[in-house]
Amino acid sequence: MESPPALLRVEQLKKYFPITAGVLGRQTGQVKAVDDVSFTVPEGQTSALVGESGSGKTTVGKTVIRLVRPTAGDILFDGTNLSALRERELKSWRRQMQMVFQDPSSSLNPRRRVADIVATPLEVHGIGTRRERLSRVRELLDLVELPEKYLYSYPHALSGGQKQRVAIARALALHPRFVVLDEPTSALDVSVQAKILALLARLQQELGLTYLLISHDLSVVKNFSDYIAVMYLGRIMEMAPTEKLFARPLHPYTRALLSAIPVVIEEELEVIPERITLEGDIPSPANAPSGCVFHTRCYTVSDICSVESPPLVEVESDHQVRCHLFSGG
Amino acid sequence: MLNVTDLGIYFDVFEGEARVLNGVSLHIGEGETVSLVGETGCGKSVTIKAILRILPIPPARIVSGHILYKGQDLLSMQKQELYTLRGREIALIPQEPMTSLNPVFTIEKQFTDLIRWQGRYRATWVDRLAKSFDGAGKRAVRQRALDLLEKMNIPDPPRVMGSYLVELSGGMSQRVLIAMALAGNPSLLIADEPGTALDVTTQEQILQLLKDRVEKEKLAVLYITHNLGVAREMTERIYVMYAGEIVEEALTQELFRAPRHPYTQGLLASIPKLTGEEVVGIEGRIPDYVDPPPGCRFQPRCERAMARCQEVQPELVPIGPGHAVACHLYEADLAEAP
Repeated sequence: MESPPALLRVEQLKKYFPITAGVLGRQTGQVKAVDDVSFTVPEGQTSALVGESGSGKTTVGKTVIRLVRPTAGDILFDGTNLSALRERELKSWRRQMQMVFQDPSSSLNPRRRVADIVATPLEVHGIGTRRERLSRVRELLDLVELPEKYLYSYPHALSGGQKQRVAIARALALHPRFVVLDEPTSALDVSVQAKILALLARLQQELGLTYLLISHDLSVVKNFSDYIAVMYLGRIMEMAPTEKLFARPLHPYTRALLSAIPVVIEEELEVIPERITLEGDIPSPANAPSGCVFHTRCYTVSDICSVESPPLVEVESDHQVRCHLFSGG
Repeated sequence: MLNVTDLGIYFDVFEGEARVLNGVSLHIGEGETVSLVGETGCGKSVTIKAILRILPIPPARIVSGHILYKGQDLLSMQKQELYTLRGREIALIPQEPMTSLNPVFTIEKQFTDLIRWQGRYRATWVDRLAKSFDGAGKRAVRQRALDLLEKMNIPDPPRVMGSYLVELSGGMSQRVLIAMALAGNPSLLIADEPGTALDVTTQEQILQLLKDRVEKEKLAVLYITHNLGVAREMTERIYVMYAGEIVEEALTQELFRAPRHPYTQGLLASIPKLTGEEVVGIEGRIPDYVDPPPGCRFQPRCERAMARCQEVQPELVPIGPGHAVACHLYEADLAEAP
């Protein structure tokens, strides 16, 4: 493979959340938020996790930087297995990986000023004196193209796009190598979204960042990422380089997802499969269907689907699908 | 059918007077589907609230304009008269199902209340009295609600009727709301971004369903959205709104083929395309309504702004069949070629 070495390799990651009942908190079941997820993120590139709400994409994002402790599986970051580390050992690794959250209005403390917000990671890791930290904050604001006059503003005085710039500046404060972008633009208007995406792309170029983009917007993902993994109910359904996935979407779910994109120009219709409208809603992860988790909504369903869960198989180089249609049957 | 002319709405706020709507005019013909597209804070919600007369006055103040529905002025209408239209002939599909239904009552309670309220001004009191004795009224109302739910492709309507909001998924509660909006056999449907709170595949379902019903019942629709892609799919004609003004009006095909206003062009260029074209955003942010920029409100963000743009507010002028733009760039063209 000509792709660069993997910065992050996730193997058979599982995260189950217990469901408890009664005063004793007895466990009565579990939510398989992430079930047997494996993927790699090559250095300096962008990998995307795509899925609808409840698909477990955010949980994967939080788990790989150990904001959430995995139930099982390995998270190999630059060769070190993070899943086995204790909190204290993790701290030095945390400098290398950061996260930008979905809604900047709730990820920024409304009672702190921009300068304090951006300096927080530096304080936590005890870097520099107060003056050095301030100059680093200025540098960061310049990097994210936020005018210096906002240095002492509170978040409420900023627009959505400006707030997201502050959040990005904060994530970059410690010179991370790896950034998890959790729906970085879904709370923003399109005209602002375009600016933020351009900023993120520029930063990746300049700083050599590696991104894990979590998104439900396939148009954004198409333009922004190198690899795509499509998730549904905690599992990866299909995984391929972006070009390949759009050129030849194989999984029925991927095809339906692609066909549902509201397009704005005629030529786009040629890129996506013919319109497929799925029946029903995404099932609750606490009560996932047997066999293939997608079989309740699938339009190519057969008998085996409700019985046996299909494995993720490689149908061509770099293109994996989890569907009985392609598992050699 | 619906004719909004020169609607101006100001809000009295702490900082002074926020001039939110500045001469908005739009019209919807019988059975026509029209979108009002704009970004957050452009005044699209204020517009529909004014049409439905659910705008809080004060702080809002209507400073100019008329809203005519089938020739009657909604703004000066008596409350009693308004009740014969709103919720019946003019219905709203609200944006967020989770906050638009009451969590402490069952769907049945809320739905039958609505149907009974709609019947209140129609039936005479003798009818009502007779019905309340034999229980037939109650059964009929329940049956009507069940039928409406069934038409929205809701599986197992009786179960949904007995459910509380928390027991329903987002897509399901959005469908309930659409069923409720259609309960009064409306002729004008105002849809405030239904489905934006939902996932793509569910949104797709809801939109298809809504589209089917609209076509079948020949409803006129005013569709409010920030998503040009959805507007393209759902409606025949589009109004583009920016900072409380209509900046462009065109047939859907025409708007996507030849957008004229710099804002519309910028908006279209901002949307990431699957064909991988370069994505360009628009600099700056929506202006402050208390102190809007002089002249054209888009001028501070416009790449093609001229001196004239800061002085005179451009009027919406027709530049082709069904296509009008409020921009000085096109006024010059018009003057040259009479």
